[in-house]
Amino acid sequence: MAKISRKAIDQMQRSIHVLPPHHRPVHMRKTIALLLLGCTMAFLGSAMAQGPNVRMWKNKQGEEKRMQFIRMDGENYCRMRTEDGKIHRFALRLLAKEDEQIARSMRPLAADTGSGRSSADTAVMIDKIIYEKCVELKARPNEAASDEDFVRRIYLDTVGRIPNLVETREFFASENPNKRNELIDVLMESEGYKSHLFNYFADMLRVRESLDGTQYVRGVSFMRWLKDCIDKNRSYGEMVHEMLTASGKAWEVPATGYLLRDSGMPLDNLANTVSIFLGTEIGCAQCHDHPFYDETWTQAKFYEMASFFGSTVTQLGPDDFKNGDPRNRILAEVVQLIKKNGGDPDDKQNSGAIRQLNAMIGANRYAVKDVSKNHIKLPHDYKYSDHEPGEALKPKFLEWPDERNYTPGTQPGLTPRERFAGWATAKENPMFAKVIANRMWQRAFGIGVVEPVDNLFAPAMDSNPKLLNFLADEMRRTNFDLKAFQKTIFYTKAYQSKATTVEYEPGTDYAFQGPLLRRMSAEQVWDSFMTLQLGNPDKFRGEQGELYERTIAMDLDNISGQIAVQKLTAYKNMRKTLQKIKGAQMEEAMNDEDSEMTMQHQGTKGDKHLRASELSQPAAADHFLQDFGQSSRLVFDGSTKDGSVPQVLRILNGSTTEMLTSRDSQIYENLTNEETEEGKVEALFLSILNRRPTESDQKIAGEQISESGRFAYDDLIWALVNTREFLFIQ
Amino acid sequence: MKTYLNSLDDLSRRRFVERSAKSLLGVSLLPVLGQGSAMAQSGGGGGGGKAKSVIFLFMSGGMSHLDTFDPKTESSVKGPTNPIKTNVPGISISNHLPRLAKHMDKMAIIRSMNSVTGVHGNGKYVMRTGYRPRATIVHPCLGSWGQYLEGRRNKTLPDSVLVSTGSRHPASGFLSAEYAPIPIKDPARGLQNIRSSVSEEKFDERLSLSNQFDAAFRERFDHLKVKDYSDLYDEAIAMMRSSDLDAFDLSMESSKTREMYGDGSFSQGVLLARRLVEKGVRYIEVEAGGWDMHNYIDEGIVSRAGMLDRTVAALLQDLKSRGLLETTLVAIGTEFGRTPGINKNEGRDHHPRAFSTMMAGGGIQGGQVWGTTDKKGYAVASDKVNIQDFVATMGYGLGLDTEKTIYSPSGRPFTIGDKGKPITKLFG
Repeated sequence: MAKISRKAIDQMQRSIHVLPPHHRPVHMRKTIALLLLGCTMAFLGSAMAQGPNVRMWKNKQGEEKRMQFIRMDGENYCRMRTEDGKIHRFALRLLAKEDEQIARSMRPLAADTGSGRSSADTAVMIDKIIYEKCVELKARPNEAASDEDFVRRIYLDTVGRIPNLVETREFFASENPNKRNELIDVLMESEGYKSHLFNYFADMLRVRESLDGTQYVRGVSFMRWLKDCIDKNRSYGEMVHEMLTASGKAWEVPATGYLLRDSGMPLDNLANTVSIFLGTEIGCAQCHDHPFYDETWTQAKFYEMASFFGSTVTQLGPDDFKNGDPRNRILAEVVQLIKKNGGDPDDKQNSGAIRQLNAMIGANRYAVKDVSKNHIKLPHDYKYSDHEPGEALKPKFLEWPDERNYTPGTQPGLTPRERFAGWATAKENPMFAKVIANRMWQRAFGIGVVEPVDNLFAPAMDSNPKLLNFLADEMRRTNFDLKAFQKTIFYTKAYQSKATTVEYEPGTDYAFQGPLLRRMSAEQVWDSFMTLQLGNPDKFRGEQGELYERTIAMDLDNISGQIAVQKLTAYKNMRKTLQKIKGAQMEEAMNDEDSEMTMQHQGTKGDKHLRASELSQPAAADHFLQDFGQSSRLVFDGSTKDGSVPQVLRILNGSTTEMLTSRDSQIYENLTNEETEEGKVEALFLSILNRRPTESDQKIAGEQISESGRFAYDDLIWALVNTREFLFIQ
Repeated sequence: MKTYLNSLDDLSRRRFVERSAKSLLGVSLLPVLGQGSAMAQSGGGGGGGKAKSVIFLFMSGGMSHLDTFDPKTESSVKGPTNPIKTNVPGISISNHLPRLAKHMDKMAIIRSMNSVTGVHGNGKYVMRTGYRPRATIVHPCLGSWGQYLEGRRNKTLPDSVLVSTGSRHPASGFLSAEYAPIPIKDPARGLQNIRSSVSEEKFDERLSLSNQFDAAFRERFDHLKVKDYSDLYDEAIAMMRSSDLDAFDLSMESSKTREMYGDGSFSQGVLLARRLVEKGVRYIEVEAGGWDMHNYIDEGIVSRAGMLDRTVAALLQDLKSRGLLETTLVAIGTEFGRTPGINKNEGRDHHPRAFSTMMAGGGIQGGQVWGTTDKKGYAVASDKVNIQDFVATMGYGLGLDTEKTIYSPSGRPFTIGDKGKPITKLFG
């Protein structure tokens, strides 16, 4: 990648920020595109030249179109640029077989795979925009954060836990002038990154252990898929597209978990989709016309949009099977089998088994599928004159006032929800990039550029539109590369500054002179306790659900009664095994129940010593995580950082605090590795608060030690985890 | 978002102040007995019922109305149950509830309940909140409503307590954590984490250490949310040291009383509820599972109804003798009823079209039956009551304003029981 001179960057920054991007004159757009990005981008509107990967592509109907293949986009889609310069997410199954093969084997367009500009360079540009705002709002940029503040904050923000003693010391000892950015790079590639971002998405997407309220349809496949997407750093646009378009059963095509989560509630699901991904609150229009910005969102418009999902079902009906509803056939065979073996199908045990089998069959009918008929109709009490009650409406995209709306190119053969997904997740969509950029910013600074993040059209606060536009463009430029985007944010001087000490008043503009003081999320508190207990909590994994998937899956068209009964037995055994090892829940442990892992990391009072992301989703009602505000996953972004009395009681008297003073905790080992009193006190402070004790701290601790002897260290540990300093991120 | 809620808080706070001022000036100090009935005539609105507390007993799984409060004589539907006479002439209940039959003069049975959902999760949710479950919002339960509208009662005890209700309870819904009920998993063990493992002296020593280490941070970040935590610490410690905590300690009851309520977590939970009522806790919900009797209802009903009969009879007796029945509304609810026909597994399946609930105490006129079902108990025949009405009636009984609208953080309007109409005629 060619280096760009500082002067050129300054020049470009000026030209970019004079006007919002879509108002820039064409020649300027081209300059930026060539200089800065080194590639052509769809929304800048360049024409397609005769170039690499350009050919006539043939679809299944034999129609031909000149397009440029850019790259694959997930398993079943690719990116194609048409001659008008627009980029489409193209379903491969629409191509003629031969052309599909060609697309699958084609090399990605070189210019589109690189991101073009380094995170460090982009961070400088962001800092410049922030600086302008600081001048405007007369806010002094905060001083640079100390190493102590920084190491704690960056661990919590990237890997969701405080650094352990070794990590803290290593960072302090390093004299590398670039050690902060290097640490960011390392952390973003570590296992903890996956866990931490998973927790965020689990809250946003309402990830639950059970999709239907029973033990039979579990959310484990979706969870694994989500973790895998984060691990592979898949484009956020692709991820969301896949969630909205996936078809099949939960364990066959795990991304279906997003629609299956709200099976039977497609209207609620859509209202959430539009809030979460497009920052537009339209839920009110589900029931009545609603004033929206400076015009009105009508109920009819809501239903028009919901109609994109009107022909998608989440449970298979009798017509979806070869020979009609398979339930009766399978159960009849089972009854025969029982009788043949001299059993009574109606006795308590057998009838119970048949009911369980029935539930397993039911679970296998949970699947996302597209049908031909739109089943979403206006309600029977529809009260406006423009449509009839009970009328089914044609799908139509949402239009935002004052935003560049666009209509995607039409691609024949796409299902309605594929059209919706293509439109919603496209770079050209005015809201999609903005919303995720704002969300990621909020995570790092404790407050979004616009608040609230789920409704950008009725903002309580809209501090810096220029910044948000820039961030959204950056999201697009990196093709929704969340890792690169977050890295850029963490590289900024603004992020690496001290937390603002003046209290922020909600609703007022904020210049982003530094991050706000935040309370740790429930997961960050728990995972930090796990760090104090285990040192590195990422060594341990929870139950992944593979055994469940193998056990529950049935081929309903073909399964015999005999096999069904075997399946049931396997299913029961699986449940028993899971319950038995509910301590560490290692899949490996299933084969070896006495494995050391299981024994070692089961807490004394039933707490599983695992990362929050490896525990049941959400945690049980009486778990530490729930007391600290983990979302119950009934509504999106349902977590809270409010305090409560049960929470305080938990940290004062609970087993999680008590375990730290047990002899097998990591923090206790840190203590015993030190010879001197001062060394021990320092180890405690470095482990818990990630800072060295002050002189006064040493003095106070010293007095406690001389009074209480070796038991004083228990007191010190207790005292330190009960400070506000521990609970808050500065 | 937050500010919106805060402004609502201010509103309800103002209302609270207004109310206190009125009672100080003697303006609204009507005779305690007259108040409920006077308001009842006017039909709804606030201040109707005179209950200070609600004990809501949730029969989880779908309690068969035919085998409890609405027994039938028709042979195709009567199942394992026969009607027996009660201490109120003309009213019969199931032979599985012999003790309760002797308390019929204290109870109002509602036989005309109906619901639109036959799914457990949804049915429970609507019974607890008055609202159908949505994927876009969580609604508060009645206890949180009460605290929100009327303010917190006691600094050292929670306003609402949930006993054995499991993880899917909506709790305070869209209201913030301060309105959340405190969950009790095991009534025998009481409040979680309330006891320190070290002596009070040691505890204070540690606390003082913590405050000293934290001083610099608190000075640097003199923020409301930091100070809020310090207040919560004070509150939690006050709770730990409060003599009110004894309310959670069942071992302080005589073995005779404990035995009268019965063994098991439901029965002991109900006893706990009575202890909490004595301390002024507003809302206590106790759940009993095991009502989902698809198989062998003849066995199931003996065990579950037996437990219900013994425990609720004990509760009514106990409240009465302590002079608490007039100010304590006891309600029995469930997500739906069960089918009149006995299925091939000798059980009954889900039946939301008609089912029964019960209320007693708290100003309820005992010895009455509200509504009827047809001969087979299949459908409501008169005075249909929706779940929304039932929830609103409990709210009304607690003296809450069921017509008052409050707003979620996103600005959506809500009332107690989703605009349900309280059955004011149940109250004497």
